[in-house]
Amino acid sequence: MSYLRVTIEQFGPEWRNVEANVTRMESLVAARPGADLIVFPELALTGYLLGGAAQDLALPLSSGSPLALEPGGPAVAFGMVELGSDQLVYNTAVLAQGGDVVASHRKIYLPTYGMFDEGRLFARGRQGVRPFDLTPDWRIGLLVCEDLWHPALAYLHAIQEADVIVVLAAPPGRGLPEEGDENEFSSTEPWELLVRSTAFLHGVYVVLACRTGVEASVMFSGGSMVADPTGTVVARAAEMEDARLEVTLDKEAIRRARASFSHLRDEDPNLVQREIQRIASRESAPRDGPDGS
Amino acid sequence: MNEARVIRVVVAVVAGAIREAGANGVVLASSLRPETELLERWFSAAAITVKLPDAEVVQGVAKSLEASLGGDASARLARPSQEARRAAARVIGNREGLISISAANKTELIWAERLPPEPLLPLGDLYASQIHALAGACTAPPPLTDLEPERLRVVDEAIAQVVDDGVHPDVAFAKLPAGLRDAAHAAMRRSAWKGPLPPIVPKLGRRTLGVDLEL
Repeated sequence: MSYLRVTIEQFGPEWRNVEANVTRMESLVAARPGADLIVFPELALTGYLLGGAAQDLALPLSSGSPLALEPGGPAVAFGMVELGSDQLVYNTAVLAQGGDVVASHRKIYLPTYGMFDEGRLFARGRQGVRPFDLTPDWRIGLLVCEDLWHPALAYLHAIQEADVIVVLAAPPGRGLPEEGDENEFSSTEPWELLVRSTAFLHGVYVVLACRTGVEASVMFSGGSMVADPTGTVVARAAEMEDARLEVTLDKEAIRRARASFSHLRDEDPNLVQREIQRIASRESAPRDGPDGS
Repeated sequence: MNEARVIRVVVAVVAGAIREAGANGVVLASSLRPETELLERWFSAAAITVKLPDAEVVQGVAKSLEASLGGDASARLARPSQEARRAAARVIGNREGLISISAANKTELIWAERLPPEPLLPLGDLYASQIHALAGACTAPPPLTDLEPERLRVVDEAIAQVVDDGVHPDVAFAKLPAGLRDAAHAAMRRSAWKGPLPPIVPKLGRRTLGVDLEL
Protein backbone atom coordinates (compact mmCIF):
# COMPACT_ATOMS: atom_id res chain seq x y z
CA MET A 1 0.00 0.00 0.00
CA SER A 2 1.29 3.44 -0.84
CA TYR A 3 -0.32 6.66 0.08
CA LEU A 4 0.49 10.31 -0.58
CA ARG A 5 -0.85 12.89 1.85
CA VAL A 6 -1.57 16.05 -0.12
CA THR A 7 -2.58 19.42 1.28
CA ILE A 8 -3.86 22.24 -0.90
CA GLU A 9 -3.48 25.69 0.62
CA GLN A 10 -6.03 27.85 -1.18
CA PHE A 11 -5.28 31.45 -0.37
CA GLY A 12 -5.08 34.97 -1.74
CA PRO A 13 -1.49 36.19 -2.03
CA GLU A 14 -0.72 39.75 -1.13
CA TRP A 15 -0.48 41.57 -4.40
CA ARG A 16 3.16 42.12 -5.44
CA ASN A 17 4.47 41.50 -1.92
CA VAL A 18 6.88 38.56 -2.13
CA GLU A 19 8.17 38.96 1.42
CA ALA A 20 4.71 38.82 3.01
CA ASN A 21 3.70 35.85 0.87
CA VAL A 22 6.87 33.91 1.64
CA THR A 23 6.34 34.47 5.36
CA ARG A 24 2.74 33.35 5.18
CA MET A 25 3.50 30.29 3.06
CA GLU A 26 6.36 29.20 5.32
CA SER A 27 4.08 29.37 8.35
CA LEU A 28 1.36 27.40 6.54
CA VAL A 29 3.94 24.73 5.63
CA ALA A 30 5.26 24.61 9.19
CA ALA A 31 1.72 23.97 10.42
CA ARG A 32 1.37 20.81 8.31
CA PRO A 33 4.38 18.66 9.14
CA GLY A 34 2.48 15.43 8.40
CA ALA A 35 1.85 16.20 4.77
CA ASP A 36 3.93 14.65 1.99
CA LEU A 37 3.09 17.37 -0.51
CA ILE A 38 1.70 20.86 0.05
CA VAL A 39 0.38 22.70 -2.99
CA PHE A 40 -0.04 26.46 -3.33
CA PRO A 41 -1.65 28.23 -6.31
CA GLU A 42 -0.15 29.83 -9.41
CA LEU A 43 2.02 32.89 -8.75
CA ALA A 44 1.52 32.46 -5.01
CA LEU A 45 4.65 34.49 -4.30
CA THR A 46 3.54 37.60 -6.18
CA GLY A 47 -0.13 37.70 -7.09
CA TYR A 48 -1.36 37.53 -10.65
CA LEU A 49 -1.93 40.95 -12.24
CA LEU A 50 1.69 42.01 -12.35
CA GLY A 51 2.10 44.18 -15.43
CA GLY A 52 5.63 45.48 -15.71
CA ALA A 53 6.31 44.51 -12.08
CA ALA A 54 6.75 40.91 -13.25
CA GLN A 55 10.31 41.85 -14.21
CA ASP A 56 11.05 43.29 -10.77
CA LEU A 57 9.53 40.38 -8.86
CA ALA A 58 11.32 37.63 -10.76
CA LEU A 59 13.66 35.41 -8.74
CA PRO A 60 16.26 32.96 -9.98
CA LEU A 61 16.04 29.33 -8.94
CA SER A 62 19.79 28.81 -9.24
CA SER A 63 20.31 29.67 -5.58
CA GLY A 64 17.58 27.33 -4.33
CA SER A 65 14.03 27.66 -3.17
CA PRO A 66 12.72 31.13 -2.22
CA LEU A 67 10.89 29.36 0.63
CA ALA A 68 13.01 28.38 3.62
CA LEU A 69 11.79 24.83 4.25
CA GLU A 70 12.85 22.39 6.92
CA PRO A 71 14.96 19.46 5.67
CA GLY A 72 12.90 16.30 5.76
CA GLY A 73 9.66 18.26 5.76
CA PRO A 74 6.93 18.12 3.14
CA ALA A 75 7.60 18.80 -0.52
CA VAL A 76 6.01 22.10 -1.50
CA ALA A 77 4.66 23.10 -4.91
CA PHE A 78 4.09 26.80 -5.51
CA GLY A 79 3.92 29.33 -8.31
CA MET A 80 6.34 32.19 -8.80
CA VAL A 81 7.90 34.48 -11.36
CA GLU A 82 11.20 32.87 -12.30
CA LEU A 83 14.16 34.73 -13.69
CA GLY A 84 15.77 32.19 -16.01
CA SER A 85 19.47 31.93 -16.68
CA ASP A 86 18.58 33.32 -20.11
CA GLN A 87 17.42 36.48 -18.25
CA LEU A 88 13.84 35.94 -19.36
CA VAL A 89 10.97 35.75 -16.88
CA TYR A 90 8.69 32.73 -16.67
CA ASN A 91 5.45 31.86 -14.91
CA THR A 92 6.80 28.81 -13.15
CA ALA A 93 5.54 26.01 -10.91
CA VAL A 94 8.26 24.99 -8.49
CA LEU A 95 8.53 21.83 -6.43
CA ALA A 96 10.83 22.37 -3.47
CA GLN A 97 12.03 20.12 -0.69
CA GLY A 98 14.14 21.49 2.12
CA GLY A 99 16.09 24.30 0.52
CA ASP A 100 16.29 22.61 -2.85
CA VAL A 101 14.28 23.02 -5.99
CA VAL A 102 13.71 19.43 -7.05
CA ALA A 103 11.53 20.12 -10.10
CA SER A 104 9.96 22.97 -11.97
CA HIS A 105 7.63 23.53 -14.89
CA ARG A 106 7.55 26.74 -16.86
CA LYS A 107 4.03 27.54 -18.04
CA ILE A 108 3.80 26.72 -21.72
CA TYR A 109 0.44 28.11 -22.75
CA LEU A 110 0.31 31.77 -21.72
CA PRO A 111 -3.22 33.11 -22.13
CA THR A 112 -3.18 36.39 -24.01
CA TYR A 113 -6.81 37.13 -24.77
CA GLY A 114 -9.71 38.84 -23.06
CA MET A 115 -8.50 39.91 -19.63
CA PHE A 116 -5.32 37.84 -19.86
CA ASP A 117 -2.03 39.43 -20.78
CA GLU A 118 0.53 36.76 -19.94
CA GLY A 119 2.09 36.57 -23.40
CA ARG A 120 3.30 40.12 -22.92
CA LEU A 121 4.73 39.49 -19.46
CA PHE A 122 6.29 36.05 -19.59
CA ALA A 123 8.39 33.94 -21.88
CA ARG A 124 6.86 30.68 -22.98
CA GLY A 125 8.18 27.57 -21.25
CA ARG A 126 10.23 25.52 -23.66
CA GLN A 127 11.63 22.88 -21.35
CA GLY A 128 8.95 20.38 -22.24
CA VAL A 129 6.81 18.27 -19.99
CA ARG A 130 8.70 16.09 -17.51
CA PRO A 131 7.14 14.40 -14.50
CA PHE A 132 9.22 14.01 -11.36
CA ASP A 133 9.60 11.14 -8.90
CA LEU A 134 8.64 12.66 -5.58
CA THR A 135 9.01 9.24 -3.93
CA PRO A 136 9.79 5.83 -5.40
CA ASP A 137 6.03 5.23 -5.63
CA TRP A 138 4.70 8.62 -6.65
CA ARG A 139 5.51 10.41 -9.89
CA ILE A 140 4.23 13.98 -10.07
CA GLY A 141 3.51 16.04 -13.18
CA LEU A 142 3.28 19.81 -12.81
CA LEU A 143 1.13 22.09 -14.97
CA VAL A 144 0.16 25.74 -14.61
CA CYS A 145 -3.45 26.85 -15.13
CA GLU A 146 -4.01 27.29 -18.90
CA ASP A 147 -1.73 24.30 -19.54
CA LEU A 148 -4.59 22.05 -18.41
CA TRP A 149 -6.79 23.46 -21.17
CA HIS A 150 -4.37 21.99 -23.72
CA PRO A 151 -4.91 18.25 -23.32
CA ALA A 152 -1.66 17.23 -24.97
CA LEU A 153 0.27 18.30 -21.87
CA ALA A 154 -1.66 16.08 -19.46
CA TYR A 155 -1.32 13.30 -22.03
CA LEU A 156 2.46 13.77 -22.12
CA HIS A 157 2.61 13.50 -18.33
CA ALA A 158 0.39 10.42 -18.37
CA ILE A 159 2.42 8.47 -20.93
CA GLN A 160 5.51 9.22 -18.85
CA GLU A 161 3.79 7.41 -16.00
CA ALA A 162 2.74 10.32 -13.85
CA ASP A 163 0.47 9.23 -11.02
CA VAL A 164 -0.64 12.71 -10.08
CA ILE A 165 -1.04 15.82 -12.21
CA VAL A 166 -0.72 18.87 -9.99
CA VAL A 167 -2.19 22.03 -11.50
CA LEU A 168 -1.42 25.43 -9.99
CA ALA A 169 -4.07 27.90 -11.07
CA ALA A 170 -5.40 31.45 -10.65
CA PRO A 171 -8.86 31.33 -12.22
CA PRO A 172 -10.73 34.64 -12.20
CA GLY A 173 -14.32 34.21 -11.03
CA ARG A 174 -16.54 34.83 -14.03
CA GLY A 175 -20.20 34.58 -14.86
CA LEU A 176 -23.26 35.06 -12.69
CA PRO A 177 -24.90 31.75 -11.92
CA GLU A 178 -28.61 31.67 -11.29
CA GLU A 179 -30.14 31.46 -7.85
CA GLY A 180 -29.83 27.89 -6.60
CA ASP A 181 -26.83 26.99 -8.77
CA GLU A 182 -24.24 25.02 -6.87
CA ASN A 183 -21.22 27.08 -7.90
CA GLU A 184 -20.57 30.68 -6.94
CA PHE A 185 -19.12 31.40 -10.39
CA SER A 186 -20.19 29.77 -13.63
CA SER A 187 -16.48 29.64 -14.59
CA THR A 188 -15.96 26.90 -11.99
CA GLU A 189 -17.92 24.39 -14.05
CA PRO A 190 -15.46 24.09 -16.97
CA TRP A 191 -12.62 23.68 -14.48
CA GLU A 192 -14.39 20.75 -12.88
CA LEU A 193 -15.05 19.28 -16.30
CA LEU A 194 -11.35 19.52 -17.16
CA VAL A 195 -10.15 18.10 -13.87
CA ARG A 196 -12.57 15.17 -13.94
CA SER A 197 -12.07 14.28 -17.60
CA THR A 198 -8.26 14.50 -17.34
CA ALA A 199 -8.27 12.23 -14.29
CA PHE A 200 -10.65 9.76 -15.88
CA LEU A 201 -9.04 9.60 -19.32
CA HIS A 202 -5.56 8.93 -17.96
CA GLY A 203 -6.37 7.11 -14.73
CA VAL A 204 -4.45 9.63 -12.65
CA TYR A 205 -5.18 11.87 -9.71
CA VAL A 206 -5.58 15.53 -10.62
CA VAL A 207 -4.89 18.08 -7.89
CA LEU A 208 -6.08 21.60 -8.74
CA ALA A 209 -4.91 24.39 -6.41
CA CYS A 210 -6.72 27.68 -7.06
CA ARG A 211 -6.16 31.06 -5.53
CA THR A 212 -8.63 33.46 -3.95
CA GLY A 213 -8.48 37.17 -3.20
CA VAL A 214 -9.02 40.35 -5.18
CA GLU A 215 -6.73 42.24 -7.53
CA ALA A 216 -8.11 45.36 -9.22
CA SER A 217 -11.42 44.31 -10.82
CA VAL A 218 -10.98 40.60 -10.42
CA MET A 219 -12.02 38.28 -7.63
CA PHE A 220 -10.24 34.95 -7.99
CA SER A 221 -12.63 32.09 -7.59
CA GLY A 222 -10.97 29.51 -5.36
CA GLY A 223 -12.79 26.20 -5.70
CA SER A 224 -9.69 23.98 -5.54
CA MET A 225 -10.44 20.31 -6.02
CA VAL A 226 -9.00 16.83 -6.28
CA ALA A 227 -10.29 14.18 -8.67
CA ASP A 228 -9.44 10.51 -8.26
CA PRO A 229 -8.47 8.22 -11.17
CA THR A 230 -12.12 7.41 -11.85
CA GLY A 231 -12.83 11.09 -12.48
CA THR A 232 -14.72 11.56 -9.24
CA VAL A 233 -14.15 14.77 -7.30
CA VAL A 234 -13.07 13.52 -3.88
CA ALA A 235 -12.40 16.89 -2.27
CA ARG A 236 -13.47 20.41 -3.05
CA ALA A 237 -12.75 23.74 -1.39
CA ALA A 238 -15.27 26.53 -1.08
CA GLU A 239 -15.20 29.32 -3.63
CA MET A 240 -14.26 32.92 -2.79
CA GLU A 241 -12.53 32.18 0.50
CA ASP A 242 -9.26 30.80 1.81
CA ALA A 243 -9.39 27.10 2.56
CA ARG A 244 -7.27 24.04 3.21
CA LEU A 245 -7.93 20.70 1.56
CA GLU A 246 -6.29 17.56 2.91
CA VAL A 247 -6.54 14.41 0.82
CA THR A 248 -4.77 11.07 1.01
CA LEU A 249 -4.06 9.67 -2.44
CA ASP A 250 -4.01 5.87 -2.73
CA LYS A 251 -1.87 4.12 -5.30
CA GLU A 252 -4.27 1.21 -5.19
CA ALA A 253 -7.01 3.49 -6.54
CA ILE A 254 -4.88 4.07 -9.63
CA ARG A 255 -4.45 0.33 -10.15
CA ARG A 256 -8.19 -0.28 -9.78
CA ALA A 257 -9.08 2.52 -12.20
CA ARG A 258 -6.64 1.24 -14.80
CA ALA A 259 -7.93 -2.30 -14.39
CA SER A 260 -11.46 -1.15 -15.14
CA PHE A 261 -10.58 1.20 -17.98
CA SER A 262 -7.40 0.38 -19.84
CA HIS A 263 -7.10 3.61 -21.80
CA LEU A 264 -3.58 4.28 -20.65
CA ARG A 265 -2.46 0.67 -21.22
CA ASP A 266 -3.70 0.82 -24.82
CA GLU A 267 -2.31 4.28 -25.51
CA ASP A 268 0.02 4.36 -28.52
CA PRO A 269 2.46 7.29 -28.45
CA ASN A 270 4.14 6.00 -31.63
CA LEU A 271 0.89 6.35 -33.54
CA VAL A 272 0.48 9.87 -32.18
CA GLN A 273 4.06 10.71 -33.09
CA ARG A 274 3.66 9.43 -36.66
CA GLU A 275 0.44 11.35 -37.14
CA ILE A 276 1.85 14.53 -35.67
CA GLN A 277 4.89 14.25 -37.94
CA ARG A 278 2.62 13.72 -40.95
CA ILE A 279 0.42 16.67 -40.03
CA ALA A 280 3.41 18.89 -39.25
CA SER A 281 5.08 18.08 -42.57
CA ARG A 282 1.83 18.80 -44.40
CA GLU A 283 1.47 22.09 -42.54
CA SER A 284 4.97 23.15 -43.50
CA ALA A 285 4.44 22.27 -47.16
CA PRO A 286 2.89 24.78 -49.57
CA ARG A 287 -0.87 24.26 -49.63
CA ASP A 288 -1.28 25.15 -53.28
CA GLY A 289 -0.01 22.97 -56.10
CA PRO A 290 2.18 24.34 -58.89
CA ASP A 291 -0.90 25.37 -60.85
CA GLY A 292 -2.41 27.07 -57.81
CA SER A 293 -5.00 24.31 -57.33
CA MET B 1 -29.49 36.26 -9.76
CA ASN B 2 -27.69 35.54 -6.52
CA GLU B 3 -27.68 38.94 -4.82
CA ALA B 4 -25.48 37.83 -1.93
CA ARG B 5 -22.75 36.79 -4.31
CA VAL B 6 -23.01 40.03 -6.32
CA ILE B 7 -22.67 42.01 -3.11
CA ARG B 8 -19.71 39.92 -2.01
CA VAL B 9 -17.77 40.51 -5.23
CA VAL B 10 -18.59 44.21 -5.48
CA VAL B 11 -17.77 44.88 -1.83
CA ALA B 12 -14.52 42.88 -2.02
CA VAL B 13 -13.33 44.71 -5.14
CA VAL B 14 -14.20 48.13 -3.74
CA ALA B 15 -12.56 47.31 -0.40
CA GLY B 16 -9.46 46.18 -2.33
CA ALA B 17 -9.40 49.42 -4.32
CA ILE B 18 -9.68 51.47 -1.14
CA ARG B 19 -6.87 49.49 0.46
CA GLU B 20 -4.62 49.76 -2.60
CA ALA B 21 -5.19 53.53 -2.83
CA GLY B 22 -4.70 54.06 0.90
CA ALA B 23 -8.10 55.79 0.91
CA ASN B 24 -10.68 56.04 3.67
CA GLY B 25 -13.78 55.15 1.71
CA VAL B 26 -15.78 56.27 -1.31
CA VAL B 27 -17.87 59.24 -2.36
CA LEU B 28 -20.71 58.85 -4.85
CA ALA B 29 -20.28 61.12 -7.83
CA SER B 30 -23.62 60.30 -9.41
CA SER B 31 -27.18 60.81 -8.27
CA LEU B 32 -28.68 57.84 -10.06
CA ARG B 33 -31.50 56.13 -8.22
CA PRO B 34 -31.79 53.34 -7.20
CA GLU B 35 -28.15 52.55 -7.98
CA THR B 36 -26.74 54.90 -5.38
CA GLU B 37 -29.16 53.55 -2.78
CA LEU B 38 -28.05 50.01 -3.53
CA LEU B 39 -24.41 50.97 -3.13
CA GLU B 40 -25.05 52.89 0.07
CA ARG B 41 -26.82 49.88 1.51
CA TRP B 42 -24.16 47.37 0.43
CA PHE B 43 -21.21 49.49 1.55
CA SER B 44 -22.75 50.51 4.86
CA ALA B 45 -23.42 46.85 5.69
CA ALA B 46 -19.76 46.12 4.94
CA ALA B 47 -18.53 49.03 7.10
CA ILE B 48 -17.16 50.85 4.04
CA THR B 49 -17.38 54.60 4.45
CA VAL B 50 -19.65 55.97 1.73
CA LYS B 51 -20.52 59.62 1.36
CA LEU B 52 -22.85 61.61 -0.83
CA PRO B 53 -22.03 65.23 -1.62
CA ASP B 54 -24.62 67.27 0.24
CA ALA B 55 -26.92 69.51 -1.74
CA GLU B 56 -25.33 72.69 -0.40
CA VAL B 57 -21.89 71.76 -1.68
CA VAL B 58 -23.30 70.70 -5.06
CA GLN B 59 -25.17 74.02 -5.38
CA GLY B 60 -22.02 75.91 -4.46
CA VAL B 61 -20.02 74.07 -7.10
CA ALA B 62 -22.81 74.63 -9.65
CA LYS B 63 -22.64 78.37 -8.98
CA SER B 64 -18.88 78.33 -9.37
CA LEU B 65 -19.25 76.50 -12.67
CA GLU B 66 -21.79 79.02 -13.90
CA ALA B 67 -19.55 81.86 -12.85
CA SER B 68 -16.48 80.37 -14.53
CA LEU B 69 -18.45 79.68 -17.71
CA GLY B 70 -19.93 83.16 -17.79
CA GLY B 71 -23.42 82.07 -16.74
CA ASP B 72 -23.54 79.74 -19.72
CA ALA B 73 -23.05 76.41 -17.96
CA SER B 74 -26.26 74.90 -19.33
CA ALA B 75 -25.14 75.54 -22.86
CA ARG B 76 -21.57 74.38 -22.32
CA LEU B 77 -22.14 71.24 -20.24
CA ALA B 78 -24.30 68.30 -21.27
CA ARG B 79 -25.64 67.77 -17.74
CA PRO B 80 -24.66 70.73 -15.55
CA SER B 81 -26.13 69.31 -12.33
CA GLN B 82 -24.32 66.02 -12.87
CA GLU B 83 -21.06 67.81 -13.59
CA ALA B 84 -21.51 69.93 -10.45
CA ARG B 85 -22.14 66.82 -8.40
CA ARG B 86 -19.11 65.14 -9.92
CA ALA B 87 -16.91 68.12 -9.14
CA ALA B 88 -18.30 68.30 -5.60
CA ALA B 89 -17.53 64.61 -5.09
CA ARG B 90 -13.99 65.23 -6.25
CA VAL B 91 -13.59 68.11 -3.79
CA ILE B 92 -14.92 66.00 -0.92
CA GLY B 93 -12.84 63.04 -2.04
CA ASN B 94 -9.64 65.07 -2.06
CA ARG B 95 -10.43 66.59 1.31
CA GLU B 96 -11.39 63.37 3.08
CA GLY B 97 -9.33 60.77 1.24
CA LEU B 98 -12.28 59.16 -0.53
CA ILE B 99 -12.38 57.58 -3.98
CA SER B 100 -14.97 59.08 -6.32
CA ILE B 101 -17.21 56.38 -7.71
CA SER B 102 -19.82 56.35 -10.43
CA ALA B 103 -22.98 54.28 -10.03
CA ALA B 104 -23.33 53.80 -13.80
CA ASN B 105 -24.47 50.33 -14.83
CA LYS B 106 -23.29 48.30 -17.80
CA THR B 107 -26.24 49.31 -19.99
CA GLU B 108 -25.42 52.97 -19.42
CA LEU B 109 -21.73 52.46 -20.13
CA ILE B 110 -22.46 50.74 -23.42
CA TRP B 111 -25.06 53.22 -24.63
CA ALA B 112 -23.31 56.38 -23.42
CA GLU B 113 -21.56 58.81 -25.74
CA ARG B 114 -18.91 59.38 -23.07
CA LEU B 115 -17.76 57.27 -20.18
CA PRO B 116 -17.76 58.58 -16.63
CA PRO B 117 -14.32 59.75 -15.50
CA GLU B 118 -14.50 58.17 -12.03
CA PRO B 119 -11.86 55.54 -11.35
CA LEU B 120 -14.23 53.04 -9.81
CA LEU B 121 -17.48 51.73 -11.31
CA PRO B 122 -18.89 49.23 -8.80
CA LEU B 123 -22.00 48.44 -10.87
CA GLY B 124 -20.29 48.55 -14.23
CA ASP B 125 -20.73 44.84 -14.90
CA LEU B 126 -24.45 44.70 -14.14
CA TYR B 127 -26.95 45.48 -16.86
CA ALA B 128 -29.80 47.87 -16.03
CA SER B 129 -32.29 45.00 -16.05
CA GLN B 130 -30.11 43.14 -13.54
CA ILE B 131 -30.17 46.23 -11.33
CA HIS B 132 -33.94 46.17 -11.73
CA ALA B 133 -34.01 42.57 -10.56
CA LEU B 134 -32.01 43.54 -7.48
CA ALA B 135 -33.66 46.84 -6.62
CA GLY B 136 -37.07 46.85 -8.27
CA ALA B 137 -36.06 49.84 -10.40
CA CYS B 138 -33.08 51.00 -12.44
CA THR B 139 -31.60 53.79 -14.48
CA ALA B 140 -31.55 53.21 -18.23
CA PRO B 141 -30.02 55.59 -20.76
CA PRO B 142 -31.83 57.09 -23.72
CA PRO B 143 -33.47 55.62 -25.78
CA LEU B 144 -34.20 52.92 -23.21
CA THR B 145 -35.21 55.24 -20.38
CA ASP B 146 -38.95 54.69 -20.55
CA LEU B 147 -39.01 51.05 -21.62
CA GLU B 148 -41.09 48.60 -19.64
CA PRO B 149 -38.83 46.38 -17.50
CA GLU B 150 -39.56 43.30 -19.64
CA ARG B 151 -38.67 45.12 -22.86
CA LEU B 152 -35.54 46.54 -21.24
CA ARG B 153 -34.55 43.01 -20.27
CA VAL B 154 -34.97 41.85 -23.88
CA VAL B 155 -32.75 44.69 -25.11
CA ASP B 156 -30.13 44.02 -22.43
CA GLU B 157 -30.08 40.33 -23.30
CA ALA B 158 -29.58 41.13 -26.97
CA ILE B 159 -26.72 43.48 -26.11
CA ALA B 160 -25.24 40.87 -23.77
CA GLN B 161 -25.29 38.30 -26.56
CA VAL B 162 -23.03 40.58 -28.56
CA VAL B 163 -20.81 41.89 -25.77
CA ASP B 164 -20.56 38.82 -23.55
CA ASP B 165 -21.10 35.93 -25.94
CA GLY B 166 -19.70 37.20 -29.24
CA VAL B 167 -22.93 36.78 -31.23
CA HIS B 168 -23.05 38.89 -34.40
CA PRO B 169 -25.17 42.05 -33.88
CA ASP B 170 -27.32 41.26 -36.93
CA VAL B 171 -28.35 38.01 -35.31
CA ALA B 172 -28.67 39.28 -31.75
CA PHE B 173 -30.71 42.36 -32.66
CA ALA B 174 -32.98 40.71 -35.24
CA LYS B 175 -35.83 40.38 -32.74
CA LEU B 176 -35.70 44.00 -31.55
CA PRO B 177 -38.19 46.58 -32.87
CA ALA B 178 -36.77 48.53 -35.81
CA GLY B 179 -36.07 51.79 -33.95
CA LEU B 180 -34.32 50.07 -31.09
CA ARG B 181 -32.46 47.80 -33.49
CA ASP B 182 -30.90 50.77 -35.24
CA ALA B 183 -30.04 52.40 -31.93
CA ALA B 184 -28.48 49.17 -30.69
CA HIS B 185 -26.34 48.91 -33.81
CA ALA B 186 -25.24 52.51 -33.28
CA ALA B 187 -24.30 51.74 -29.67
CA MET B 188 -22.24 48.79 -30.82
CA ARG B 189 -20.43 50.95 -33.35
CA ARG B 190 -19.44 53.49 -30.75
CA SER B 191 -16.03 52.61 -29.46
CA ALA B 192 -15.85 54.27 -26.05
CA TRP B 193 -16.78 51.13 -24.12
CA LYS B 194 -14.58 48.80 -26.14
CA GLY B 195 -11.19 50.05 -25.09
CA PRO B 196 -9.17 49.48 -21.95
CA LEU B 197 -10.94 51.59 -19.36
CA PRO B 198 -8.93 53.04 -16.51
CA PRO B 199 -11.65 52.38 -13.91
CA ILE B 200 -11.97 49.35 -11.76
CA VAL B 201 -15.11 47.39 -12.58
CA PRO B 202 -15.91 44.46 -10.28
CA LYS B 203 -15.99 41.45 -12.55
CA LEU B 204 -19.32 39.65 -12.43
CA GLY B 205 -20.15 38.61 -15.98
CA ARG B 206 -18.27 36.67 -18.60
CA ARG B 207 -16.83 39.72 -20.34
CA THR B 208 -16.35 42.88 -18.36
CA LEU B 209 -15.90 46.32 -19.85
CA GLY B 210 -12.37 47.49 -19.28
CA VAL B 211 -11.21 44.09 -18.06
CA ASP B 212 -11.73 41.84 -21.05
CA LEU B 213 -10.11 43.99 -23.65
CA GLU B 214 -10.92 42.00 -26.75
CA LEU B 215 -14.43 43.32 -27.29
